[in-house]
Amino acid sequence: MLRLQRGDTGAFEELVAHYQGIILNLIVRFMGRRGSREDLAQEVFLRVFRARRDYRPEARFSTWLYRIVFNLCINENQRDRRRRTVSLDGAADGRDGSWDPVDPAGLPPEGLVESEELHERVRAVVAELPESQRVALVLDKYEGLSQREIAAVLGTTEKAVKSLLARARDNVRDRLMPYLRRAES
Amino acid sequence: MKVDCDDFRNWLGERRPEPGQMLPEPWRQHLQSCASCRELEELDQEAWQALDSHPVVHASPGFVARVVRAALGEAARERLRPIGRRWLLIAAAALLLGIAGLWSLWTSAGEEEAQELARLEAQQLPEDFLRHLDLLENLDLLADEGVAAVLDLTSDELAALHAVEAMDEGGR
Repeated sequence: MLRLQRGDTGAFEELVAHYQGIILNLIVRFMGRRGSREDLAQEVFLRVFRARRDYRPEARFSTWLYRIVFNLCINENQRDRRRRTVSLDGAADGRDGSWDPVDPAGLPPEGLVESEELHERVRAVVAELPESQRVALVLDKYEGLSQREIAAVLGTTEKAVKSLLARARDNVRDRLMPYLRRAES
Repeated sequence: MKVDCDDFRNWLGERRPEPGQMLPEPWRQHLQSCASCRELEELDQEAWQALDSHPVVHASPGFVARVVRAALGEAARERLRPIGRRWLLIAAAALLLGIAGLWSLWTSAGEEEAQELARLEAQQLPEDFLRHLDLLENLDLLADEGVAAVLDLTSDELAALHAVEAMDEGGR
């Protein structure tokens, strides 16, 4: 980032190449199937590029970057909610990642843990968590950030992060329970 | 340490379950005696592992080049922007004002000239008329050679005056 500040555009290319997978997966995990993931990832990098002159290495670069990602995702979610409010047809097509409780008795019995349906359900369950719980869970589970680092991204305390994570895990467990129990039987 | 279900559930919310993780002794003892907490702990493990089923996605091959191209394009536009839009707008506004001012001066000058000409033309006819009237009334005086000399009349003009005077007298 400091090289980019000095006008080294090659450094930007390296930065994008290094973080593209992390950013894209964070977006996919946070947003579910909504939105154009690569367009959002591109916007994250463009924001980094635009902010290059104002960047101060006071916190870890990744913390700053994650904050950009989640702010952008939250804005996109809000826009998406507004769009869905206007278009009821769009919400009814089942592609919006919304939580849709399904009777586990009606599920196919074979190999559910490995099934595409469970993947979809996990994705939907995560995508439907409240935003702050989702940020905490995604950074904890997939990025392995400490509670202190998550607190820095969210701009809150470690205690609050601990509580968010506990609630996120409760929600995930409760919502996945029918599928998990079914998989065992 | 004796733990109850609430203690266990609080602890469960804070732990990060990992495969093969050994539970601390007080919790193990509790789970041996509490079927509902045991089931909850198993579900917690399974749910945590199910989150791993979230597939990893990869960016499309041209992603890095596309992002860099977009960023450099923005930077190029950014460089033009300070001189660009604001000053171009100011310059365009100044140019328009200048043109409008010149046009206004030019058109008003033309109008003044036309008005002056019209005024002169309007004045010319009565003056000519008055001068001729004056000439007729003072034919006697003009015919006098002394006056003609003062007025610097030519001999032809003087002759013409005399002829007019003669006609005038013949008429009377």
